Amino acid sequence: MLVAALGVLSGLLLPALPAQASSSPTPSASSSAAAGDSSAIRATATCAQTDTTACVAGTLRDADTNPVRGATVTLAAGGTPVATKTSAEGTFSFTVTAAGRYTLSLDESTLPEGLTPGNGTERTITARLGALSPAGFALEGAQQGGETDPEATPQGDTSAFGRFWNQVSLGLLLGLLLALGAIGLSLVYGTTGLSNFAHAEQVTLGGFLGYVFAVQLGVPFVLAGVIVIVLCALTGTVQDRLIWQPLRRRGLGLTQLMVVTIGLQLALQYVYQFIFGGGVRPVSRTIQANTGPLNITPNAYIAMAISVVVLIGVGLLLQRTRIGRATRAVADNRPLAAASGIDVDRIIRLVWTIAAGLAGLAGLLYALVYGGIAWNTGAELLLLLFPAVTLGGFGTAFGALVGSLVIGLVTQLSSLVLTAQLRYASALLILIVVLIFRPQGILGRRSRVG
Amino acid sequence: MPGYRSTGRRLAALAMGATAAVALAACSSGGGTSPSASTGASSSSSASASAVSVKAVPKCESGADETTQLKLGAFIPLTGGLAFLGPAAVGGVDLALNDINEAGGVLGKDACVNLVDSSETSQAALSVANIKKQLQSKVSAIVGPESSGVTYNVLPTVNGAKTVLFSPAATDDGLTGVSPYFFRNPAPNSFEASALGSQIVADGRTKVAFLTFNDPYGTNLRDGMESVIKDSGSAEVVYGAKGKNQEFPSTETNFGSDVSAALATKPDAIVIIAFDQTKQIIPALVSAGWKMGNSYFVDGNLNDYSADLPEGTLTGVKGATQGVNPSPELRAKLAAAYKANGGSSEPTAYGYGAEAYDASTLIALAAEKGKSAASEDIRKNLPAVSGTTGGEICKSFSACKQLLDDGKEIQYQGYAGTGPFNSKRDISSGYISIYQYEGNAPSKFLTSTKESD
Amino acid sequence: MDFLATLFTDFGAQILSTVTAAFAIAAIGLNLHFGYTGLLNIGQAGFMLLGAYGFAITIRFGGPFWLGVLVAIVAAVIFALILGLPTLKLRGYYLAIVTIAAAEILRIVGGNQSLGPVTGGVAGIGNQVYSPAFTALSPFPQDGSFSLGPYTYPLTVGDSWYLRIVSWIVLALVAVLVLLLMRSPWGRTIRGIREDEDAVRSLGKNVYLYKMQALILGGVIGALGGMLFVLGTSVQPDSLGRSTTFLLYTIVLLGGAATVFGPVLGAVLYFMVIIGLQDVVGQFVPPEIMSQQQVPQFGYIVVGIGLMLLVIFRPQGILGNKKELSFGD
Repeated sequence: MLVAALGVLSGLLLPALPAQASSSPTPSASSSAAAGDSSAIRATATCAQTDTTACVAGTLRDADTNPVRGATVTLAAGGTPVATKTSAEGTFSFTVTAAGRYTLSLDESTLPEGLTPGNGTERTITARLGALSPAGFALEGAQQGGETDPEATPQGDTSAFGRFWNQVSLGLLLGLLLALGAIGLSLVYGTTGLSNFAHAEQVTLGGFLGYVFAVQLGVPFVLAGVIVIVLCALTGTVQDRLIWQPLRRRGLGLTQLMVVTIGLQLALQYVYQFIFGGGVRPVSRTIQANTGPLNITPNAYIAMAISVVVLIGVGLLLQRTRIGRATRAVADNRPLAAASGIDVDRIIRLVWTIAAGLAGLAGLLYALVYGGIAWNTGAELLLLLFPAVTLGGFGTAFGALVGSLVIGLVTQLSSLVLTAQLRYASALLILIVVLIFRPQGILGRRSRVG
Repeated sequence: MPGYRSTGRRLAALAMGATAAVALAACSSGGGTSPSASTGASSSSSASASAVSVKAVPKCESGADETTQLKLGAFIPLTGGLAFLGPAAVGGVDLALNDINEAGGVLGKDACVNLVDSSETSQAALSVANIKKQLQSKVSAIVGPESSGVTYNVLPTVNGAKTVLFSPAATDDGLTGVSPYFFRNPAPNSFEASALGSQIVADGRTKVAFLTFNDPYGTNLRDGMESVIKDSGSAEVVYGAKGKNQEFPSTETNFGSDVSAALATKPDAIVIIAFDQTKQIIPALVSAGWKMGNSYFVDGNLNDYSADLPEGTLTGVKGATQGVNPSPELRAKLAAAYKANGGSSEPTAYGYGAEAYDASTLIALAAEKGKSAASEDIRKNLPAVSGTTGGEICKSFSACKQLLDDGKEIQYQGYAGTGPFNSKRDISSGYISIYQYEGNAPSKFLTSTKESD
Repeated sequence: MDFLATLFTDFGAQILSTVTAAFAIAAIGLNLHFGYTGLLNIGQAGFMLLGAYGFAITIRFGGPFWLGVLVAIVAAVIFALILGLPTLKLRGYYLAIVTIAAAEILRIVGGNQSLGPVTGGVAGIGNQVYSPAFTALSPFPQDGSFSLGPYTYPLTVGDSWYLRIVSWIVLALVAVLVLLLMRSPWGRTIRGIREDEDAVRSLGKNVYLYKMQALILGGVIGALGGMLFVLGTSVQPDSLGRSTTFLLYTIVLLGGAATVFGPVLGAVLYFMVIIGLQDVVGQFVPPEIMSQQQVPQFGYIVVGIGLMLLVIFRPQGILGNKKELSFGD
């Protein structure tokens, strides 16, 4: 009875003190406390604040983030302090009927052995009616016999070298995926002189077709991948047949053709929105754990391996085969190549087919490794693809690889020294600087600059 | 390019060629729309959607008098980066107008809708061109846009036309009191930040990392939570704090770097403040060994990810949303309204649908109270119907209209659970609900808190 | 008939719009680069953004209106020098890559949170911060509005008659300037550079210097366009990015490159087409075939394909002269 009386008394007195300090005194605060609640503070198992009550709650955890049970926590506001013990989940909570300041204290002696408070044992809490006022104590040390959960916080190497290595691996991954997209851009430029602004939309297409086949239609991923590459390559063939070859025959200038690709880019982006909407679409619903020396997912290793194999394959194709030599001949001097009996149109058709197929593969792998594809994924990548190709030296396959790796590494490593927001700006800046001092790119030939 | 001119000019083939890639892309994914319809939304809502009957809302005739008939403009993102939010908001406006018209309309006439695309910040010229078109057709008031950036871009135009612009989603702090014609009813970022920040501290988290996208919405929310966390005395922000410039660009497409940098700080909780990028951030976190149960979401990404992620990935994740996360019934109704008015598929996200509904209803009630649908009268009466005059609480247009007809003051409380406007035309108080994921859907209601300014 | 009346009223509103005038001005600047001199500048939006920043930031920190204009112009000159110095001696492609990269860098850095106190970060700078310096100079009363037929706008504040009149006067001045320049020996020289750089060089002209002058002048005009644009909207880095540059190209090519009034006509037509398409499709295509969300998307698909067809079949645009083909290789 006495306790209840004291409770009502404190409930009456309390608002007078803190109301000044509290930013939004609620008129109902004092009236509800005076309305006959047996106590202004109650320890409750869980807190469900209403318009007339406030909640003070928290959770005690040790340094391993395991809950601390059985510790005594006390809440007071002038009147009788109310104590409670933390639950098996480490939680404690009080429901109070008056807004204002409360003092929360932790009884250090009730903490399990080995735990010490990290930052004092008292907190001043401002309760607001209808709201949750959190209270916490950072505890140092781990509990005896508490299960340490190795997965609670990931174990990655956080040393300076570990961070550096991690960024290197991410840079290599991004670089190799970019290279798959960049090589087609570079080949098309090399053989036709066209800067294809719509090339990145071919990358997006690969991702979306992956979503259609692997997720919507449920085709096994590898098979879906093959279908996607074939379909994307076909779009290259058809595109050259229906658009680019006739335009070459009409004698359109290169600038004119470039603007045509800008139009195509715009149209394709909205076609993707028209069909797939504005959101991100996955190509796979599985998530793998990072593993191995590079600390990336198994799929990412496979993607890197595919990229390396394909890039070597394309390199060999260009260096060793008749078709490859013919392609290089067309790239070097088209009239001469035509004069020496090379079917230039056929070579260019082949280049478009390969470029679109590789771009589709790049989009599929990109969506697989980075968790999905959206209508503007390609458009954002274009800003990395052009620098990659230009850096490496336009028109060379190997240059596209080197340029892509440089861009991948620069964007990822720059996060170590620059702010994350500036990573793409840093890649573009590197591009400008390289162009000023070595306009032909890292591997390009001087003659192409003129 | 001499040497390539000689061949014949097949113009027809060329014209076909220009559209070929487009047609090809369209064909190759034939049927793409219909399966995607069922992705984001749970199957239960699509089942019940058919049971809800919502009629199409009439389109506004340009010649009609906007002062005697409620001609509601809807200025909502149909293209661009926020287009995925469009369907819920369109559904919200249409559903509200459907309910209003079933209750006899406004001023005795059926209310009508004029929908245009608000597009996105990077298409500023189009946003402005579209809202000019809308204003030229004389609307009574406009619901939209969703992006704070687009709001800034169209405000001079709307101010010039002296038309009410009522945003259901723009939350940038800088928009407070920016124009006498600008109202908004999403709970300010500070409310949500306070509620979610409190939850994080109360959960005993001590080292919090923020993965925030670089957008006013993202940084406002982060700043608010950060101050709650710092004030607690028991927790600190270990990654992504204000001024560290660790926010990622809103157009980012790969998150390995951000995730590894965040995890390197050994956080015991991660708050993801993003929109649809969340679908790409989650796999990166899980791959790196992060236990998703220690994560927190915000209203922008408190979605159902059942169609995107392996079963059970998100169990334990907590997230906050303004008002109440749309209930299955409201979701079904929003989807039905969107479809009844020419929507192609179901919304994949339901954020701000409730706010759009409430905004439309408040505008209609303001017109009823002022006995005029002219924008100036709506502007004058909006605060009163939101409850600034301490009226009787009512929860639907028909109930509120009944009270108005009886000459009483009202306080409309709709789906979003917001309080009256303050003097700067932001809402003065609102409820923030905390949900927990079960499986990949935020289906477990934990608690709701009342926040006020 | 009602539909047609609405359509034409909409068209009129777009023609009067400040945004149309601002884009026409920026497009005239781009036309000076691309149409007359043959410089492939894919970063014109960067000049606009710089003009907007220079103007708005100066006023934000208490500078007077005319100082803001001056800062915007000087910023554009410096930007043009930085872009031009290393690249104008190289083949056109390098200017293209460097301009698009530099414009993107500007956009990204401007949106950086740590620059918040200056640029406002991604949220940018609201119109209310800098427009009072502009409206204070208005000869019209600060309050009140004026109706001309179906068009009612305020006299001075916001999206006003005052802003419209100033925009169109600036546009007229810029157009006249370009007209006079193109009839001068200077204009003949830069057109000569576009046609045959080596021939001009053999006449003893410093081609590099001429190109630089054209780049600077077009850039400054772009900055003026950016300034007027943000007077009617707000300063946001993302609003003046790549999409804006591509839009300017569409405008120039639609009206006719290497013509004085091509960009003006192009800007007017572009906004009419994009609005008209939505009206027509929304009116005549039933929602079962195309949802309301898909209508604007379809509009942009048509714009993209239209740009392709235009460049292929009528590269000189509407006003252009086929003999003076604007596309140098």
